[in-house]
Amino acid sequence: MDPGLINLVFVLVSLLLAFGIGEWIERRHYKSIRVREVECKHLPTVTLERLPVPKGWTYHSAGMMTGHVVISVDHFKRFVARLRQLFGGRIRTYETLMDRARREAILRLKRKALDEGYHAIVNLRIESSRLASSGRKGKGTAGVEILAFGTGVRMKKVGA
Amino acid sequence: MRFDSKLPDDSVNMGDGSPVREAGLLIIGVLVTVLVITTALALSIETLVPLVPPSLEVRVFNRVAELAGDSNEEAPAADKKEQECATPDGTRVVKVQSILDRLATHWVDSPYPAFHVFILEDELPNAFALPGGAIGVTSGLLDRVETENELAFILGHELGHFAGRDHLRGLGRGLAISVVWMALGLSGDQVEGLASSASAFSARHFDRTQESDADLFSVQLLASEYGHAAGTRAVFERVLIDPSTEEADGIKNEAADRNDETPGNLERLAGYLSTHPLGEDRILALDAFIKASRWAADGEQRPWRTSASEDSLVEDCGEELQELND
Amino acid sequence: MILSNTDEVPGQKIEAFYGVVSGSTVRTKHIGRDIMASIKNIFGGELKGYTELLHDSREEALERMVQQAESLGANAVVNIRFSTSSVAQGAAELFAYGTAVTVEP
Repeated sequence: MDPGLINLVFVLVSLLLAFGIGEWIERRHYKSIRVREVECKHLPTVTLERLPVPKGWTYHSAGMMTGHVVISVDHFKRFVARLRQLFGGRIRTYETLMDRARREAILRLKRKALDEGYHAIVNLRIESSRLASSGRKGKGTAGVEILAFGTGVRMKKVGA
Repeated sequence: MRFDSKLPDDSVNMGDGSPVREAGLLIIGVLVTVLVITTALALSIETLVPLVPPSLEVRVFNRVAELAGDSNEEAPAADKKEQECATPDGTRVVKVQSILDRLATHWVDSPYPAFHVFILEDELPNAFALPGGAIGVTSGLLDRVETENELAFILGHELGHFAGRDHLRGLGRGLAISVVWMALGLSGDQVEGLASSASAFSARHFDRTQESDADLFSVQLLASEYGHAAGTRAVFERVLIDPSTEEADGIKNEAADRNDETPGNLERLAGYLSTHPLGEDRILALDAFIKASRWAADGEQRPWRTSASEDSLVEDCGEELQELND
Repeated sequence: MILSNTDEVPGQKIEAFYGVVSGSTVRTKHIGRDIMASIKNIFGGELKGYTELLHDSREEALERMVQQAESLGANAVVNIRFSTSSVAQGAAELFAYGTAVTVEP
């Protein structure tokens, strides 16, 4: 067979394989994110610097918390993104990557806050950075790091 | 003030639509764009190539060869001769060169001052024309040809590429395409694999007409030299068949066996996808040409392994070398 | 929908908090724009294509954040922050987040 054709077939097969596995991993991740989001729902989290204290309560203690994650995208999504860059427009395949990375980072932050007995998280901040590039010539994206940080606050009853 | 923890609609931050569909559309988009670009480039190369005078081509590429440190070219004639005789391949080079020289005399209006042959150690039977008048043949090819006529047909085919300036076209196309790829920032990219497949595909149309034209050119030289066109068919049926795929991929063999019938769909597809058109198509085109030109399709062929020209050459090199050669 | 990047909406009282809402988008310009930008880079000056890209992306990120806030029944988003990251070369990732609240005069 013609080497050009073999090359093309090889490219397509590896893409299909990456798509199958990548899609499976992403679905599983989203499923777990949704479950844990419901679990952590009751923890008040705001971007405000100060959270009004309920009547009869006062601030007790506070501490900064972080939650972070590095997530990579599969070969198929990266390939589609690369093609998208030729034509312009929305890179859908990276949107889901950023979305689940952020939600995962916030969840880890919340989990930590809950485990340490905080009652709320204030001044939530989210930062992201790209881990450059296992890809050739530094154009690929090895993964994104999302850092979520905020201040956990504990409250106590007035007079307690 | 109350705190009412709720989960927002989480589908907002994801674009909708199937990624596979998007990938499909994008791949088609890339393929079409690449086809258009490479076809446009190839067409402009087609018009540019005839404007390059062969003398300039020879000057430029000989200079390139010198710069590349091709010491063989600079060696004194005596050393060169010695070197040629010292190895079995050396004598083979002389033999092939003499056949080429005789053929080239029939190309009356050749714009090239000279052609020279070199041998490449490779199992696969193959031959190629390089800019500046060099013709490369693989050792695998020389092992497989049985008559001088077969070899002459292949050499003539490469001369036909020079006549059509095909080697420059191929080179120019490759160069132009890689420049465009580089300008688009695609070189070394994962998309390059896709793009290069597409451009190779689009280049085939040009390659295939070149191959057939070179065949016809070659058979003219062959008829002038030997008085008949014998040996051409064997090249397609035996010499150029890749020994490693002879068993596995029956397409070529089958085509050779059934050359009275019209090619089947699979063979047509295979022929369409390969650079060299289906052997059978080329044979048919050649046969028609031979018939139209009233040349004898068969005739006495000169042996390749112990030809008269070889004997005279080997004498120069001494008897022990001849033993080595056998 | 009232948007604010302070802790409160001046003159209004926060009635209810719902939590963090966010909007993000990843966008890119076609390769022609990238090439034009790299040429423009030699001489400096505004890269109009990228200005446009970032503007559109930011608008869209905000819009998505508002959609999330609407899905919670909020009427304002306070303390909004933006963050940008380069998820891939030549592509802009815009992220807007804030706290969804209901405000009353």
